[in-house]
Amino acid sequence: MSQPIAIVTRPTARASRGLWRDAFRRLMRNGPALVGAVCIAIFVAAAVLASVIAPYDPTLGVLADGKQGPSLAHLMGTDLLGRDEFSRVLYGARISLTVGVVAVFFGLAFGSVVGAVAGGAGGKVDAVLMRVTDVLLAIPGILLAIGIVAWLGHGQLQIMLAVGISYAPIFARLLRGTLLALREADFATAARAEGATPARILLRHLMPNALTPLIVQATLALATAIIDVAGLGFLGLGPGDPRVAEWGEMLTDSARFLQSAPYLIFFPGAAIVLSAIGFNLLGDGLREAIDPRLKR
Amino acid sequence: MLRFIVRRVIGAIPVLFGLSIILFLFLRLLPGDPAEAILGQHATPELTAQIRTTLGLDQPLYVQYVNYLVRLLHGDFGSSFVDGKSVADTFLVRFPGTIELTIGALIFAVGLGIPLGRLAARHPNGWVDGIVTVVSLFGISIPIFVLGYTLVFVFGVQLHWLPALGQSDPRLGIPQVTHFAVIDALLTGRPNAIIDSFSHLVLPSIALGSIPLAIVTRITRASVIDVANEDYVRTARAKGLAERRVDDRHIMRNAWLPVATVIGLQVGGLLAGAVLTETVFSWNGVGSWVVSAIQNHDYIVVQSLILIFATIFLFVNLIVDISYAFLNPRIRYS
Amino acid sequence: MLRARTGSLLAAAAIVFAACGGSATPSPSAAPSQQASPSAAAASAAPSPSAAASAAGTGGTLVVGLDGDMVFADPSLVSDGNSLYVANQVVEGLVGLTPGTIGDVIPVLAASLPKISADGKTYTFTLRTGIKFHDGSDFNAAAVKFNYDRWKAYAKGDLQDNAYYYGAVFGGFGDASNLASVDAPDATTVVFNFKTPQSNFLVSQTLAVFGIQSPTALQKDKADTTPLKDNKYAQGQGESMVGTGPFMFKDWVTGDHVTVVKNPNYWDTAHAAQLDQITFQANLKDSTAKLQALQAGGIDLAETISPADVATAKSSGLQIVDRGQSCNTGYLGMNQSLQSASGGAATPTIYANKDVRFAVAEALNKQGYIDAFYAGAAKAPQSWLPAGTTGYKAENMPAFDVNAAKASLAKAGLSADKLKIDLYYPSNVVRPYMPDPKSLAQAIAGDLQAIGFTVALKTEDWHGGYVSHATGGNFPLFLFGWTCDWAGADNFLYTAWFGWQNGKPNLQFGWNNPQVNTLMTQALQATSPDAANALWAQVQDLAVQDMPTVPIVNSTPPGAYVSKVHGFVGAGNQTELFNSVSIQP
Repeated sequence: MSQPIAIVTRPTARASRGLWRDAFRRLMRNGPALVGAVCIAIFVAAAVLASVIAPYDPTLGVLADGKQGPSLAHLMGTDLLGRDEFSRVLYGARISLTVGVVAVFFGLAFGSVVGAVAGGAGGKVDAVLMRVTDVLLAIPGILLAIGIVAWLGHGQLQIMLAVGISYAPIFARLLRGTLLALREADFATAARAEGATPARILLRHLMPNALTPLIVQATLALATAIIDVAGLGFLGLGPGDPRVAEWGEMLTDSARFLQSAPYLIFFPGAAIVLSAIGFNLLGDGLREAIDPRLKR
Repeated sequence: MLRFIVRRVIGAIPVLFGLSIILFLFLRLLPGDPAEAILGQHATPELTAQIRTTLGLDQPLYVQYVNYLVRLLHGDFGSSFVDGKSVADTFLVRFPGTIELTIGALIFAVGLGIPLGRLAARHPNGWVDGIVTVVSLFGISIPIFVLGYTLVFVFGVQLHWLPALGQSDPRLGIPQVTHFAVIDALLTGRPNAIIDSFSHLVLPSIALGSIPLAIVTRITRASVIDVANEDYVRTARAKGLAERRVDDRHIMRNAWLPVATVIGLQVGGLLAGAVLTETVFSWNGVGSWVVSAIQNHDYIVVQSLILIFATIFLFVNLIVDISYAFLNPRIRYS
Repeated sequence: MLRARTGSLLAAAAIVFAACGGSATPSPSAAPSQQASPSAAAASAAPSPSAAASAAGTGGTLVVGLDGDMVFADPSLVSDGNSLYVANQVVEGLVGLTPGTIGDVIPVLAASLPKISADGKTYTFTLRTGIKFHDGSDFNAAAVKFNYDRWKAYAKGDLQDNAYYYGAVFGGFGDASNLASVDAPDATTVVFNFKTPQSNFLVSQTLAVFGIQSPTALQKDKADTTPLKDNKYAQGQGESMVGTGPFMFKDWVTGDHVTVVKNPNYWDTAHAAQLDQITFQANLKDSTAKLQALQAGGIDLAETISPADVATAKSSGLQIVDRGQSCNTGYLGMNQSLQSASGGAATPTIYANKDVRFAVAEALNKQGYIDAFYAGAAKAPQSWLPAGTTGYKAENMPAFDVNAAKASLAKAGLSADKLKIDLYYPSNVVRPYMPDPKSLAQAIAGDLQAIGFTVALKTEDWHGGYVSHATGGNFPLFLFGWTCDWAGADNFLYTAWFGWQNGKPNLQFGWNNPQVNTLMTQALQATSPDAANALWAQVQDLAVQDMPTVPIVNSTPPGAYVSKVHGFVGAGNQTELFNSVSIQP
């Protein structure tokens, strides 16, 4: 970062550093948000340490040992193919969290580009881009995702893309709205008065301030992403290699054993619900921390 | 106001037109062929080609599109490639089911969500608030199909309180006139038929309504808390107005706006949720229809249905925007 | 899935007299066809529970869960299992199948099996008398002729596209049809004249597709109207399916249900319907929903349930349908010559090496799959055909033996990179021979890994290219199967798998064995059933020496019903009649 730019951006940068420090302090005092953070931390730890903790290979099983209830040998029982459910839930954290994060990242990336261009340029560009967004918003997300998987074939990447693209319009709308509001803010007017180019105003002044609501929205989207992936699996659109443990697919494959082996639904289901709740609590906490007016 | 409506309706036309082109091209990029769905294991290259000719799939894309558009402008949504049925006819049979389900879910979500949200907002961060928050988070976090199966298992299979599938019991022999199960049951005038049709609605409405319930609860809570701290509410309280009256007259009236917005946005989500709910409850609606149409590459059905969905979505949001003006006289459209 | 079970109802052995020669579970071969005929005279000897049931309680509405919706209400225009399942209750053909069998042909509207001329080109039927269609008009020889002439004259386009079976059985419509003419010299005699002998004529006519409908109704309702969306008869909006069967069509709400009601004037009084009404629910696509509907009492009988639910169903007091003889084969296809999807030259695969094919065959724990995924309702095949089909010969198939498989693979001497293989399985489909393709694929992959392969699993949607890619030779190793159209060797060995097309081996396998094709061509033209069967046996001998594919299962998909349902007789091809069914609380 070169000196002149740093001078111009200093007021904003300082303000945002302070904002973040305050926000963090508020977050640490928010009980539910901490519970959420701990939840997420546990799952992240499970994902990282899966290969250390897991007692069995999550992809290998003995067919004859299928659908055994929880026991000392298999804490969460075994699935239809005789694989250790506990090991699969642990390894599943890796894939499920990754799929969720990457899907939301795709959505965020697509959405931000569209939102930034629309909100930054305004006028006709804005109008056209928002019409496109309307079109996407008008198609129920799950149908969009079904279409994308049907088009690109089965696979993890396709699922992440499908879920991500169905989120993109939300991010685009959010960023555009924030940018339009910020354009009239004092610091933007000041930068314009100093002769900064529109692109520089957008990237240096507006974007850093518009990111906060995006981050909050993304945290909340992580929760729904994991559930949406499970919903796709229910409609037969799971990733191509079912041997790889993934919560959504473990849940959907076991939904038919509701009566004969409920533990096969309970454990991956609990993992999904708890991580979704974790992201929700954390997201809410973040929002309240950043906008203290919300917390009373 | 009228001008605003006209402008919005005109604005929707390019959106729908663009959507029809995108859908048309996209569907034809999909691997697979409706002929495969028709022939199954008997698909041979000769028979496949013959069927493609009959369906007009061997014509250039732009010809197919123009044909489709011309028919569409004449109000003809075409007919299914796979079962030859007119899309409009099947739609009239199946859409009532989805409407009933959606209304049931909305009633559940709004009817329970607003009181719950107000209850939670009374003492923010108290124990009632905590319970409501946790329950609504569960509502958002449990996949619909797991909730649906569990509800059926508990209330249908174990307790035998409520039916497990469909819109009505075929043993009652209710004639399907309007295809709205509840209305058809009312038309018979038989109490057992009427109770039967309502009892079929309960579980699917809860399953589909769980996510909107959570969202409505949270928005109501947040918006009531927001409004409750406004000066005019304090003034009202200071004037010595009864708490009940303050709640109804001053708080809810103003807190309603964001709640209405969110309810409008939920309609899109409900249509998506209906896809899963209709499968779990063997509900004869458009959600399950569109999934099988996509899987069978029944292009015409998918195209027409998604266009209809999109129109409904745009229409509902227009209604929501108009309702703002009634809910909040400060908003004016020109 | 609309077409998920296409063809599974298609019944019957290729040749009457040899039907069910194998070691099948029920013993239709012990019951001469006349004995089981639904005629009044034979009622006392009928082996089915219908005789007992007819004495008991009658009436009531039975709610049956189908696997999906019908396609058309005109049986002559369908080829899917759901439409045929309903049509079987409403229309009757000249011949049918003994209930519970897959290939025991009996006369129905014909008074007896036909006289066949020495040259095999003329079939003469004598008809039963005194039968009326549901609309009250008379059934007679002219009505039979009217129906066969109507199908033959189907116009190109909608009608021909959907009337798959007429085209497939008779080799085409109009002048292309092998059925030169149908004559009705008097009211009770019908004569079929063929251009060339057609040995599968009789069995193929047991399909409900060839059910005789009232000419009066067909003409009055303009049943040949196209496009089919405007055809009220085919769409079941009004009078439809006007046949002679024990039930009459009442109404059809798309995607929801089809209702049929008792025919009070059924000609075969001893086998008249006992139920007042059957509602076929068409909206039960999800297997868990179906099970729960049975348990909660929403439906009384499910045509099929997932094998995964059989144990639960039993423990909650439901009865399981035993379907006896299988009429399908699920297999692991091995392609010796991979076709390029983009149209380039085909490339040989490791499966061109016979040792590799045997290694794969020996590696598969078929009984393990059957226990885990088919609830035991399947058998490990002893040949390429299900036992009980005409022309079946029990062979000595390679047994599950990991060490032998490893040895075979070592003998093949593949380099390490060749041991990395792709295995394809279909998504979004349940087939009778493949109730859980995803789990089956994983188990097979595990068994192949155990002998030294590294397996990558790949999937495509059944209707999203899987079928065409498998049959087009674009998959090296893939799960697939065949549901019989009729229970004959020709239908499996020739039509489904090893018959050459355009002078080339079937692209699925690229099994280049000209001798096999020659033998099959001879078998199709054989004059006597014994000669044909000997030739079909030779084909199976050659196949077991070469292992072009690995048959994995012959399955009998389970169904279930609540205990108040009595008299239901299951069949391996799901051609099942409800006139014997009653509700007894």
